Amino acid sequence: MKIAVASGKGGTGKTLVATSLAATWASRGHGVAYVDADVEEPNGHLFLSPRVEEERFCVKVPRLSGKRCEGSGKCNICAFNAIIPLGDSVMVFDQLCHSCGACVLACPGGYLVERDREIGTVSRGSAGDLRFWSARLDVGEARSTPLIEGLIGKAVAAEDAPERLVVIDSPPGTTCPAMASVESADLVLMVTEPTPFGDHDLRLAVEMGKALGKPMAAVVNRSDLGDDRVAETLAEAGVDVLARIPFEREVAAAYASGKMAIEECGGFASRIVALADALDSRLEGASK
Amino acid sequence: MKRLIAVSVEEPGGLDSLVDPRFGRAGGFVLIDPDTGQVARTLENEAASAGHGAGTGAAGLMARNGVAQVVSGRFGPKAYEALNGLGVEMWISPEGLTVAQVVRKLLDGELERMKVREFR
Repeated sequence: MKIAVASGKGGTGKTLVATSLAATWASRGHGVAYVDADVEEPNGHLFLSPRVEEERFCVKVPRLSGKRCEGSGKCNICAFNAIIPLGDSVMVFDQLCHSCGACVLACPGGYLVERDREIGTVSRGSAGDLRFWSARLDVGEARSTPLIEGLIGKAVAAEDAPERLVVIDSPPGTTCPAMASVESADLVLMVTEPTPFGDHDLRLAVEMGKALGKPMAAVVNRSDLGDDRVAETLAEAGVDVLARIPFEREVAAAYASGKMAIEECGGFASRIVALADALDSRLEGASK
Repeated sequence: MKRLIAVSVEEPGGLDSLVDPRFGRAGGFVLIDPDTGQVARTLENEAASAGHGAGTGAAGLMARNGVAQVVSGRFGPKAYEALNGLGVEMWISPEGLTVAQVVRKLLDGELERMKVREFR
């Protein structure tokens, strides 16, 4: 079973909840994998301290197999204008390319071929009983979605099984990277906060979840601050709140120093235990 | 044969059209014959609404239409790279001119040529 922890707004506590939940489940003897899909700023490793092996990740880009082509101009079909015919040659803009391969198919003389281009690194390993996956996009790269899809594809192929749990720590927002990270999930856990920004972005995130047809549940972090709007938004959308986590200075302090707050703060740990229980029964219901 | 002058315009009308300060997302282009100063043809900019790659798309449009010099308000970094690779000269237009006015300035040597890629 795969649970994506998402939010809309950044900084609501996705990584706090995802790492805490994964570690709590792992301590119960479940087979659990944590996948950090926030490839533009991965930080789950700071808390879980895994040992990992790394491999480079590539996407396909078009190249001329020789120096020249016949200049048919047929490669000018790119939806993203990533390739421009230049007389008897072409100019390729790697950052715009979506690796669809259409130009290679369109080239009548077979002058275009697909070559690998490195865009990031995938790490896999373990932290105690927990399996750990993450990826990091190279500095200067414009598109993280292929790396997220690649990471989740590899992690799910290796880890997913009916009796195992995969916790996907998603990037914020509701654009392609966020959608790619929740697309394979059986349940999306929205972590939100009772602030105007939290509510605004939660609405967008819930809309995204509905558009993708995903069952959703929510965690309200810093639940004793702010106002009631996120609670109203969730009630209107029919999304159950499985945990309310009040603000605690000790949790923030543990998090800020890279420690697992479930090991430092008893009140917080018991809320994550209750969240894990609630998710267990929710997932049991879903698998029946 | 590459010899025409292209001017980015808000609406592809003619010599009276206002220069569009954007290259990649210009409404269209008026192509001028440098020998006569008259309109050779007008082009809609099919790349203007592209999510990404408007600049490279518009550059490709220049290449397919025999443009040697293009006048606009600004050229983004990818458009610069593409036009430079295509051997199309880039010239900077002051704001608020018509096609006729800016072509006159180009032919009189009063425009600034963009020779360095800018990130902005």
